[in-house]
Amino acid sequence: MKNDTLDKLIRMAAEAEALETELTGVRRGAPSALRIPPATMSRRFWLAGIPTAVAAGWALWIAVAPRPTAESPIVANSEVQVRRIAGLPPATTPCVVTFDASSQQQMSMMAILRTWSDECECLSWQVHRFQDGSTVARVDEINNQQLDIPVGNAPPVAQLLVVAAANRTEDLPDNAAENKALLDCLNERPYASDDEPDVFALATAVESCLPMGVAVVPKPFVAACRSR
Amino acid sequence: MVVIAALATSIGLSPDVDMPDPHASSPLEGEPPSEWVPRAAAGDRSAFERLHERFAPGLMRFILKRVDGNADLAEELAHLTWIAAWDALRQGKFDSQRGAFSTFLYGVGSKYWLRHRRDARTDARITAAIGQAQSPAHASPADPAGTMAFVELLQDVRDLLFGESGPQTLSPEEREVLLESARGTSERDLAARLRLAPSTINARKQSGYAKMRRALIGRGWNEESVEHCLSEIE
Repeated sequence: MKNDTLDKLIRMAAEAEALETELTGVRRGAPSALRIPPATMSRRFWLAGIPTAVAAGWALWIAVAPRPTAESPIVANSEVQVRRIAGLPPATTPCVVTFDASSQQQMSMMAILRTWSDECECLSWQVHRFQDGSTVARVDEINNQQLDIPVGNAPPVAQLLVVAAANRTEDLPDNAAENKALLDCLNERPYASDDEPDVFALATAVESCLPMGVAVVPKPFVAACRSR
Repeated sequence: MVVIAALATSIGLSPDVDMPDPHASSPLEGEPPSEWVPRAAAGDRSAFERLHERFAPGLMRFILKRVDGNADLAEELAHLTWIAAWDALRQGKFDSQRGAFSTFLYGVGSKYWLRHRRDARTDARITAAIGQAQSPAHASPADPAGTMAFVELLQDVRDLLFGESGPQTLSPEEREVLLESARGTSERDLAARLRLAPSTINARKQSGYAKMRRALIGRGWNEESVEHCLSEIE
């Protein structure tokens, strides 16, 4: 058996194994239909779209686009679901968008965000840190994982939360060096098209930068949080 | 839901059937998927629905990757795969002793995709008409029964990489290198990521290949039979 043949078999076995994990991420339609605005697009352009509610006097304003419906899971009938929690108060401090990741089985997860960076005034990838400071959390069928995503001074651009899930904690990057390697892989990755990649392409990018056997669940959202 | 309704119609379920709520209790609640397969083979539609519910998203994702995100084409190929899976189960052509249902589904899905790709190459006009009713895959349906030898081979590889016998065959380091290498990661990149010398990565890879080769031979495979199985889906 040649090495090339073994490589082929190993690749196919890993792909077949991924079907078994039950942790899936792409549903036809909604994710691929949403396009992320160009990362380099002017911030002012997007701020122009902030609803009049901000001008009307709310101290803080948070909005999450109801796409396709605000409360429907992004992945129907899968073992991992990510939902946005409804009813965010307009004056939440710090300014966060809250998601709820649930699973029907015990697993490990990390949250990777393509979100607004004030530093570069662009969209860039970040790894979320949970309340205990770690980047990997355990989720089981009893305790769902709540994800509070700070949106800072984000203009209302389309951002992306990608939950990466694995059966074993060691399959996920869980130290500074591994997280840096992941972010370098994501932020330096070229995309096939000159256009800004869609959610499917971005989710695929995350998956390809992670070890095999890790599944991803993308959840696009639009959020803005502005001080008056 | 349109897809599910269409699939339900294709396999003889009521067209307006809803897929069951995964959180709802059912007679299958708590039973492992391995139990759903014989039930589905015996004609239990709810068992097949559970199989569909569990594996459809993963299958769709796998096919979407293959077809560069063409959702219409992916949906059609997934649809054909499920119809073939249902037929194979009902006709006793799927042998769960030889491989997991997910491996079988992967094999059938791969076959449909490869057949589509082959046909599309020879007829650009059909490629342009992707999403229309006359898909090339419709014209020459894959034979699920012919996939079983490939399924058995792939199941053995899965067991060696991910199963209980895996750790006895490969060290975690060898396994990691083999998986990354199969994914296309270069030795140099992997060495940089793991902060190891490229020669160390290469040594692990060669050692992993050798162990995989011995383990597969130990399970009755040889170069000829492996190539024959791969030709079934290529």
